[in-house]
Amino acid sequence: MRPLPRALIAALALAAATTVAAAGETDSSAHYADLHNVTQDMLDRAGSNANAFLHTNANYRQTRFYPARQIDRRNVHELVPAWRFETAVDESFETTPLVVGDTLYLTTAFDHVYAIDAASGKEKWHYKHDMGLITTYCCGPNNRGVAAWHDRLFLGTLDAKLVALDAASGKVLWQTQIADPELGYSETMAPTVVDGKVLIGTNGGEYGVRGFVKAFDADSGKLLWTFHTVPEKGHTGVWATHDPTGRELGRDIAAEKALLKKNGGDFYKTLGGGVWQNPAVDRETGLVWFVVGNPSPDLYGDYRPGDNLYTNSLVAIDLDSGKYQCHFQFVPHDVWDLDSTSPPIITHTVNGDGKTVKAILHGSKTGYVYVNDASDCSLIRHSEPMVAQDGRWTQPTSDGVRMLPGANGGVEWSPMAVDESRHLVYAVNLHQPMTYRVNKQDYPHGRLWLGGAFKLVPGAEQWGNITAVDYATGKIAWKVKTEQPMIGGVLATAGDLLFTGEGNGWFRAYDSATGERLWQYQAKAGVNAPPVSYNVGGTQYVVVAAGGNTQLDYPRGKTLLAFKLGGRD
Amino acid sequence: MRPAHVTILASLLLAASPPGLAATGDGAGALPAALAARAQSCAACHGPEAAAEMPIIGGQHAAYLYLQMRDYQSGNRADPRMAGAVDGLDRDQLIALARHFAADPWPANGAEPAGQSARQQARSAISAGECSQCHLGGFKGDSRVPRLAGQREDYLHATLLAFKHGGRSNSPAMADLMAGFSDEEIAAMAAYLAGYRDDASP
Ligand code: HEC
Ligand code: HEC
Repeated sequence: MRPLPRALIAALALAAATTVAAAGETDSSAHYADLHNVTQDMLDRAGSNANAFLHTNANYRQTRFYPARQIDRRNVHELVPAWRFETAVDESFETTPLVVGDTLYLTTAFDHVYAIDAASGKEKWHYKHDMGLITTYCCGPNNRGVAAWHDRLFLGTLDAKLVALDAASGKVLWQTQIADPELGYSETMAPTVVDGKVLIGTNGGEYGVRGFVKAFDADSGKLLWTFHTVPEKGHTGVWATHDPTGRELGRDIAAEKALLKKNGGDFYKTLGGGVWQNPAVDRETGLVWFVVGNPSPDLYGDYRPGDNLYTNSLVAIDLDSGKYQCHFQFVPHDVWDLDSTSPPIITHTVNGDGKTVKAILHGSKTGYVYVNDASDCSLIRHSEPMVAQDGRWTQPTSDGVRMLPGANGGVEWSPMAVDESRHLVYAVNLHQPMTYRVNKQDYPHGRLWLGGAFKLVPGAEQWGNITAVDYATGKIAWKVKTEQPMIGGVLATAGDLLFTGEGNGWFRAYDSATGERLWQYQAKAGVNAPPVSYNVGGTQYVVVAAGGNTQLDYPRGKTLLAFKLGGRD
Repeated sequence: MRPAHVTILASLLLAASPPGLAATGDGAGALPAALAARAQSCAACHGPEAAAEMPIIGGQHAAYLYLQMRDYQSGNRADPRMAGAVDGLDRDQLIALARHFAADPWPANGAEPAGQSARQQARSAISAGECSQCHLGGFKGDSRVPRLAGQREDYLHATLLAFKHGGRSNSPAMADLMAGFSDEEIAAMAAYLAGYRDDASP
C-alpha cells in the first residue's frame, strides 16, 4: 500500500475539523457524548482529529503529524503569541501537553499537572504530587506528560508511582507504587493507555535496575502484567561481533565467555534496560512496540558478558498478555551508552524486494535511523549517519578515549515525526565529542552506576542538526545545522511545516520539504520539549514548553507558549 | 582571610538562631523528645560555630542526609566522628533526623563569590563534568543529590579530594568523575560553589 496522497489527507483532515468545530458551536453532545470523555474510539482515530492532541506522540503510531493546515508554509510568518502560561516550576521542561476538548493538560518537572483553557491559557486546576522521601533519577527531575482515558489522566512520578487523576478536578482517584525508587527506579515518561490498560516503562539504566514495561488496569490500578526487558535466560544473545550498520564492535568475545563461565549469569537482575518513552501500539496486530535503553553499568562491560538482550533493542510484545514477540538489537554489549530512547514510529515503506510492508522507524543515539520490518523485527535498512562518527565503537579505557557520538547521541529521547506523503522522517541530533573513562565498580545498591565517567571534551566544538531522512531509501533528504546540540523533538504538520526548538531559546518553523527556515520566536529559555498543535473554536494553535533542559544545562524557565496566526481570535 | 568571614558568619547565624540546630523545632522537622536531645548534640560540630571544614546539614535534602547517615553507620562512608554521632539509631530515627534538619532554612555561609580566575576555571570544569545534570540548576540538588551552592568551601574541597583519592568511597560515580580533574580544578570548583549565588549566572 502506498501512503495516502497529500491532498486527500488534507481534505480528510479539513472535513474532520469542520464537523467537530460546527458541533462545538451547537452542542458538543451531538457527535460525542462528551468531548471530555476520551473514548477508545477517539484514541484510535486521533491521527485524523485536528481538534485535539490526545497522545503524547499524536496517535498510537506515534507519527507526530498534525493533520490540518490552517497554519501552512505560506502564512507561518504571521504566527504570533496567543497566550503564555507560567507554571510554578522553574526546571527542565521536556513535556508534551495533551488537548482534550477545550482543555489542555500540562505537566512540569517534579510532577505538577495543570489543566488549562486551551483557547485562553487560563488555569482550571493545579495538582502537585506529594513526593516520597527518596527519588533516584538521572538527567533531571523531568516529566514528559500525562495520558488521557475516559474521565481520567495518568501520571508517572519521580518516586516511581502511577497516579490516576480526575480530569475534571485534578483529584487523585488512585495511586500505586510501580517499583522501588531507592533501588533506582523512577518515572519520567508519559504513560500510554489502550483498551483500559495503562502501559508504562521505567528509568534506571544508570542505577542497575531490571527494566520493564508494565500494564495496569485503568479503572482500579491493579497490575495486569509485567514484561521484563532483560530475560532471565537468553540475555547473552548471539555474541555479535558487528553492529547492524556493519561496524566491528571491538569485543573480546572469548574473554566475555570466560567471564560468564566464571561468574555466572545472575547479573540479569541488575542489567538495566530502561524504557524511557511511550510505546507505539499497532491496533491491527495488537502488538506493542518500544525501544529499550542501555545496560548497567553503562561503561563497564566485564560485569555483564554477552549481548545483554534486550538492551538497546526494538522489542514487540503482545498487548493482552505482555508476551514477547520479537526483537532487534541495535547495539550489542553496549559500553558507550549509545542506547535507544526516542519513541518508535509505525508506518509503511518498501522493503528490499520493492514490496510495501509495515515498518517501524527508530532514531538512535548512534545517529542513525533504523527501519525494521513489523512482521518479524528484522532490519530493512538504516539511514546514512546523521552525525559524524569519529571513533564509534572504540572500547573505553581507564585512561579515557574520545568518542563521537557522545553519550547523549545522536538522537536522544527527542521524538521524531514523519510526513508519510513524502516518506520523510525528521530527527534532531547532537554533535558532542566526549571522553570515556572506564572503571570497575561493583553494584552500588541504588546509587548511580556508570562503571566509569563520560566527560565533554573541553573546548571541543559542539553543535546539532535537524535531519530529514527518506525512510524508503535511507538517504538524507536535507539537514539543517543548529548552533547547539538538539534535544526536545519535532512536530510535522499537513501545512508542510516542521516545528522544533533549541537550547538557545529559538522556537522555529521549517519547510518540511526543504528545511528552509520560515519563522522563529525567541522564548528566553531553552525550548527543549516536543511541540503540539490543535484547533479550538476554529483557530489552530501551536504550543510548546519553554523551560530549558537539565541534561544539557540549557537556560531554565517555566512557561508554556501558545501561538496562532495574527489577527485571529 | 577566611577566618574573618567565619567569625562574621557565626555571629550572623547566632542572631538568626536556625530552628533545627537551636531547638527541637516544629512542623515538618518536629522530633520526639529522645531524638531531640540527640539532634542537639549535632550542633557542636554542624552548628553555627562549627569549624570551616564541617558541612552544613541544616537545609540539605532529607534523602541525602539520611543516606549519608546510613553510610556512616555501615562504614560505607568512613568517619569516626560521624560513626559515633549516629551510632545505635534505627532507620526511622535516621529518617526523622534527616527530615528535621532538612526543614531548616539553608544558612548563609559568608563566602565571597570566587575570584575571576577560579571562576573561569571552575565554570569550564563544571561544564565538562556536566555537574548540573545531577545537581540541577543553581546547584540546588534534589532528594539524594546534595545541594552544593553555599556549602562551606573547606568541606567541599576536602570531600571532592576524598572522592578523587579514595577517602570517600560511597559514591563510585562521583569518585570516577573526580578522577578526571586536577587538584587545581577541584580547588577552583570548591571556591566557586561555596560562593555561588543564584543571581550570578553559572
Ligand atoms: C564530633 C563532630 C560531629 C558530630 C557531633 C556530628 N557530626 Fe556530622 N559530620 C562531622 C564531620 C567531620 C563530617 C564530615 C565527615 C566526612 O568528611 O565524611 C560530618 C558529616 C555529616 C553528614 C554528611 C554531610 C554531607 O554533606 O555529606 C551528615 C548528614 C551529618 N554529618 C549529620 C550529623 C548529624 C545528624 C549529627 C547528630 C546526630 C551529626 N552529624 C553529629 C562531624 C560531626
Ligand atoms: C551523574 C550525576 C552527578 C554528576 C554529573 C555530578 N554529581 Fe556530584 N553528586 C552526585 C550524587 C548522587 C551525590 C551524592 C553521593 C552520595 O550519595 O554520597 C553527589 C555528591 C557530590 C558532592 C558531595 C556533597 C556533600 O555535601 O558531601 C559534591 C561536592 C559534588 N557532588 C560535586 C560535583 C561536581 C563539582 C560535579 C561536576 C564536576 C558533580 N558533582 C557532578 C551526582 C552527580
